[in-house]
Amino acid sequence: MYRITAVVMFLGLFLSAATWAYSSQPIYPEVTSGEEFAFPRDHGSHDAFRTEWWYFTGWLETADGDPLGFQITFFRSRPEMATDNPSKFAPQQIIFAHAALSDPQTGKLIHDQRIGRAGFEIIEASQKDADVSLLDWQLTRTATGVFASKVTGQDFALDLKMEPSQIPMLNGENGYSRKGPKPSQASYYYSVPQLKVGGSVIHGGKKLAVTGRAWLDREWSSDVLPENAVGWDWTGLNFDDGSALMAFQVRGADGDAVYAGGSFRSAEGKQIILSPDDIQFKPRRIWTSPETGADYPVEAEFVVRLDGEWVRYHLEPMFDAQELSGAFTPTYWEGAVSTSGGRGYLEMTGYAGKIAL
Amino acid sequence: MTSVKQNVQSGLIWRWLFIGQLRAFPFRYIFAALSIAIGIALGFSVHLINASASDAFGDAVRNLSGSSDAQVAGATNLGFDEQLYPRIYRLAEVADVSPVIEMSAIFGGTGERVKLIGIDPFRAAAITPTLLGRQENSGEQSAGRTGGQTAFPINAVHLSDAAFTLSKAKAGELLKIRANGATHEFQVAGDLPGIEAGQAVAVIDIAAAQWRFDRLGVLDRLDIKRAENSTQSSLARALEKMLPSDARLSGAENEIKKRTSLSRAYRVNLEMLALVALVTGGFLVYSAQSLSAQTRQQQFALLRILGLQKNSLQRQLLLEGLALGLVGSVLGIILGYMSAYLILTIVGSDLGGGYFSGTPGPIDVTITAVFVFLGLGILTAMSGSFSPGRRAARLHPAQAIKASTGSLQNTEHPAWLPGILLLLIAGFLVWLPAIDGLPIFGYLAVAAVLAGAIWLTPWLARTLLTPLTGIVRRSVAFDLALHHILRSPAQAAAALGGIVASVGLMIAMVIMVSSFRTSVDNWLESILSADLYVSGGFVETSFDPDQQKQISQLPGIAVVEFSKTMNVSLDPRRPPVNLIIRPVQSSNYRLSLIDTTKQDIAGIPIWISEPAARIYDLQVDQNIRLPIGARGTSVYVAGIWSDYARQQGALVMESEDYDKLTGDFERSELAISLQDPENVDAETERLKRQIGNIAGSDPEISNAAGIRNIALQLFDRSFAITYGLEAVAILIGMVGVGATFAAQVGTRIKEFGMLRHIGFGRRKIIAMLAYEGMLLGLVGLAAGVASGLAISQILVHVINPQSFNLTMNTSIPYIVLLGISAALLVTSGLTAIFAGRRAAATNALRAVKEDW
Amino acid sequence: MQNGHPLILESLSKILPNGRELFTDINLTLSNGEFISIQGESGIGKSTLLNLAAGLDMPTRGEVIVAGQSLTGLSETKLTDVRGRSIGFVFQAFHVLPFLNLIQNVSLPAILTGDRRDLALQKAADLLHEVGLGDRAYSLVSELSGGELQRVAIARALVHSPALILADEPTGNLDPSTSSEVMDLLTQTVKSTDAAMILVTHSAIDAASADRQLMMTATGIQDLDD
Repeated sequence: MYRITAVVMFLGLFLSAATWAYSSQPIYPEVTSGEEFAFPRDHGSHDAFRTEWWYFTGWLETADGDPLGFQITFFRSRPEMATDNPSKFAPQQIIFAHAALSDPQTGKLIHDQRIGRAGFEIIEASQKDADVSLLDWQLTRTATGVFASKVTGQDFALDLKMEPSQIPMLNGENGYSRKGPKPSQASYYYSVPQLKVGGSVIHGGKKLAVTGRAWLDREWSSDVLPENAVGWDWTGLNFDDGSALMAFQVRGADGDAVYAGGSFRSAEGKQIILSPDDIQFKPRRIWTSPETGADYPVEAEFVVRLDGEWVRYHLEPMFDAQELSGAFTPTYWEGAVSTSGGRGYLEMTGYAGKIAL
Repeated sequence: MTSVKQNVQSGLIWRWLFIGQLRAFPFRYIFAALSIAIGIALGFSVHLINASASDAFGDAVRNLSGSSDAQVAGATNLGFDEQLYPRIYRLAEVADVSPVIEMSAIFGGTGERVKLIGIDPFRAAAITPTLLGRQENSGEQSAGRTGGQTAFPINAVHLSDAAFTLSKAKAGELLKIRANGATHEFQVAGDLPGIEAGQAVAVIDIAAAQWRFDRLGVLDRLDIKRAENSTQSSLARALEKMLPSDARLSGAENEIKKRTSLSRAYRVNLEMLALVALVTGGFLVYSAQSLSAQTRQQQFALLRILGLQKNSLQRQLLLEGLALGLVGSVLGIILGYMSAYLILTIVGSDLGGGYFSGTPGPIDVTITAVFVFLGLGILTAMSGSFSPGRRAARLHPAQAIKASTGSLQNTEHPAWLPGILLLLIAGFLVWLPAIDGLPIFGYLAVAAVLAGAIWLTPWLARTLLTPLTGIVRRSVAFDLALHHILRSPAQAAAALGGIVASVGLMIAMVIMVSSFRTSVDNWLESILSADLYVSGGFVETSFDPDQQKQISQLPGIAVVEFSKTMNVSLDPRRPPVNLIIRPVQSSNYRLSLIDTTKQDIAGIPIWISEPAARIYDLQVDQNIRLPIGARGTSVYVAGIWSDYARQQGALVMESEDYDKLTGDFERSELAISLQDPENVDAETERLKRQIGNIAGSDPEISNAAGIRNIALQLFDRSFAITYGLEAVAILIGMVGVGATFAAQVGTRIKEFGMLRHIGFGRRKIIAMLAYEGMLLGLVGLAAGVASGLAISQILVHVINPQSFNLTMNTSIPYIVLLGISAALLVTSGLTAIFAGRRAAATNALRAVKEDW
Repeated sequence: MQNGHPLILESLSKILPNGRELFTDINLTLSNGEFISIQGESGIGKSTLLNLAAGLDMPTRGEVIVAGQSLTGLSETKLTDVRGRSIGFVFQAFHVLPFLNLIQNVSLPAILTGDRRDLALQKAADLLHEVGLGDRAYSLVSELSGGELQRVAIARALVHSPALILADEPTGNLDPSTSSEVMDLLTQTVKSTDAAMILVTHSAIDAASADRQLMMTATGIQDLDD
């Protein structure tokens, strides 16, 4: 849901200005429980819903054994606009993509983005399988089920193949994942942890062969966050033994959780659904961004109750300065983290001032 | 060694002499410097105006096309298929493409015209960020982090500062925009900080533009960014290979060149005329220096006898020319800058030619231009001094010191052969074609005619005035005046050079402009056969077949016919031509054909305008391809018609042919014959209301007389600058007469003294001078009128067809010419009298003793 | 101070372009300080003889040697140089430049031959003093009478210390009393230098003041004293 806000943010004016002018508004389907996922169809786009994303995060290792963190995200958004505009340029769907590379040796995170309205086969998200084109950026799923993505940004490029080693992990109630107290505040949400990564990275002017482990989050929904939410904290962790943890909390203005949730799946495939009462997020060390002045708990603990037993996951950042700010996104922190016996990504939003919706 | 030394020393002497001369004859030098100043001022101001105008245009084009490496534009204003966009995007040579809709539009409230641009802001952000709007309420520049620039409300319009002024709208208000026959309301969301001052631009979303203004499925422009690993030329090649016939490649630079060449011929005409004025100035310097050298003949002889070297003498006279040229040029450059400023402010950067609109940019003065014009002025003055200087240096000092002033040339017989040769050369030059669209040889012919006429002046003086000696004479003063001129025709020629040049030029321009205007007037009369014409003339008014039917059923209309005008590109390097869809010859529409096919050819006929025929070198019966439809259409030229309205060329196609070819039945203009043509005004009001109701917007209705008046007004405005030039030519002519007489009278103080001795009164001397002035004026007028007639024919039949691509019939404004002639004769006489009074006022008795 | 005689004319003949033989075989030698006068009818060739001596005209035959320099075959530039350096002129019509003041007029030849400006002006001032116009050095020419103009011309003829003075009817435009004043001044002033002088005149009185009086006729040139 952090991603919802990102997209909604930049479309804010779009939506507000369009509302008064058009009578024929799009009707967004409601997210309900009890829907069955079907693959590969559900790897593809769900155009009717307001927002959707394909979100890859993970740790890479070069041939020299140097670690790198990466993030590749494709967003789809269906803006509120007249559905009766017959122009092929009418923004029926907006595709936005964002990629970042974290290098602990330089202590810097570099990132780039693409955006455009779907159309003319230049910008497109297939409804049949994971197949998104956004100008020169691509995400596809091969016949053998391997996710492949190519993105070229300023000063870096990623060309990665990500092969699932486990079946998708359906979050929440069989994929119906609640974000707030109201049942409609929910999304369809599944993750694919433990993706085996191979490919190449162009970084610092050199092309480097890389291997690693990644995480895919797939989510689509129509409703926005609870009104009193100001931000959130999310993590997805791949453990060395094959198990995986996804946990999030939605924060209110007072810093307390408005809602929380998550999933833990053991190496054997046994999945535990985490309810709001099962998750606590505890800041441990604050880093102040020199650029924005925002204070982020870059070292933090997710304390999670698994089968009635509280387990403490202490998250250490790869390095502190993994804050992002871009033309189409709010300012937030999205970085590679490690914990004992596992690695993953931590995302924290709503720290650089209040996020205005 | 001595000569080096002498240079230094004679410099000192020269300073003494020059300053002394200046004190004695200030007017002679002031006139000479002024004539150079006027020529330079004209040339420099026209140059400045040109430079500023093309710069302003270049900035405007670059501003709107941003940093695109190439542009693909529609060959007509019907645009091209939008599927070209993804195909071009996929070229390996292309990095990014921004699709654009571009229309001429009108603001609902004020009726002011604006360029309406539809973009996809996401694509434009990378290529043409100048087109991105800024949200009024955010107050943040479009590059801001919150993404103001991409948050492009689909029903929002962003206005440039000029468009804000024209629309009178404020941010947040609703604004009606009319284009392509449709009107839609947009919310003013903010401004366009990237658009330069003076450009009226409104930017909306491309999807809204396609939908609201009936442009679905088409685009007008693609702004293209080249892939990093490809070159500009490989990009152009790849694009050209795949473009359908209704789209063409046009780089931003191309666009600037094209628009500039449109008015280039017009501007070159002016600049060349200005330079001719400068040459006239050169002749005046020649006159002044010749006379001054004659006056100082004995001084020069004395100096030569006392040991001044021949070369030093000639060099010194050249240096005098340089001093004159320098003073004149500096003055001219200042005057030129001032007049350029005034013209740009009052008339506009198109010199009233109607080529550009918008506010003028700052005047662009380059150091190079200043030095070029400074050099030109000095060079002209020095060339004017060269030959008198050489003549002075060649005089035999022992003879010259004893001879009376100017007497050494009296024995010369006026040679007419070189003059005739020059005229023959002119006769040959007029047959040569234009170079690069410029009538260079035509101007050389003008120069040859002028030079020939000036050369023939002494011969003409003798031939014209000799018969007068036989006439019974009652006035001694007249007799003396006549003989003085006959005795020294060469001196007369020196005096007349400037007069002939300026009178010739003046008369040529008067005849040319009058011919042009008369031809335009006749043409307008022949084509305006309907009573009323309805349209804005642009694409924003449009009538579909249903509306057309309703209009034709309105009461009071005898015949109504519909037409449409669009732009069609026949050659990407040239400005597009107008394609007019209409009945070719009907009761409401006529063409003044100057050539028509005699054969019966199968296929689609078109009728092309004379400029189009000249520009594209087309003849009757020839086949051409029109970029209508994706694959183009082959048509043949069925006739050529004269057209003064569209310099870039125009084509006429029969309505039915166009309908069949395109299936586009919409029309933007209509011509109406009234059942009651006497009652035009009332009928106009009624029809305006009724057609307005049918079209859903207020149409522009003009009657034939109104159109003709407006056209002639426009004509007069665009020729205002030539009228200005004419006035300056007259000024130069008068300065010439004045300077010449002042100089001449100065040389003859002794003669006057002698005449006083033998009983001539002051009055008689003055009368004699007046007769002389008028006789000289008469000769100058004869030579000037003759050369002016010849030059006007070169302008009418060579220079204008070559630079404007249109012909006209000569029409001589006799009354104006008579007026000019009378004015010249009177001025010559008056100037002579004025000079004579001064001469007669000096102590004539004493002057006999003096030899200077 | 000079190389040899100020002027030697050797077997000088002049035939006009129209074929008329002006004079033939004239021989004449002037020594330093010598003053000769030449009389004769109008058109007999007196002025032409002066022009030949000044290098302003070329003889048909014979040679002109000015201050030891033969003029035969000299370039225009060199002739001008010799003329400017070695010869001073006094004309009938004065030929004083009207736009210059007296001292400027007088200093012209000295400046043309390359004297320093201050020296030339000093010399001109001295000479003006000598001819009795010292207090009017900065007056303009238009304020002078004919006699005064000719005094200025005399000063000008001497300012560059020429070897030879050529005076062509210097009193022709003057009334009798002024004439004799000017003649006296000319004779005295030239005598005070080392320069030779040829005086061409119609006036027997003027001619008589010369050391030698010559008469030019159609047959040639004769010494009147013989």
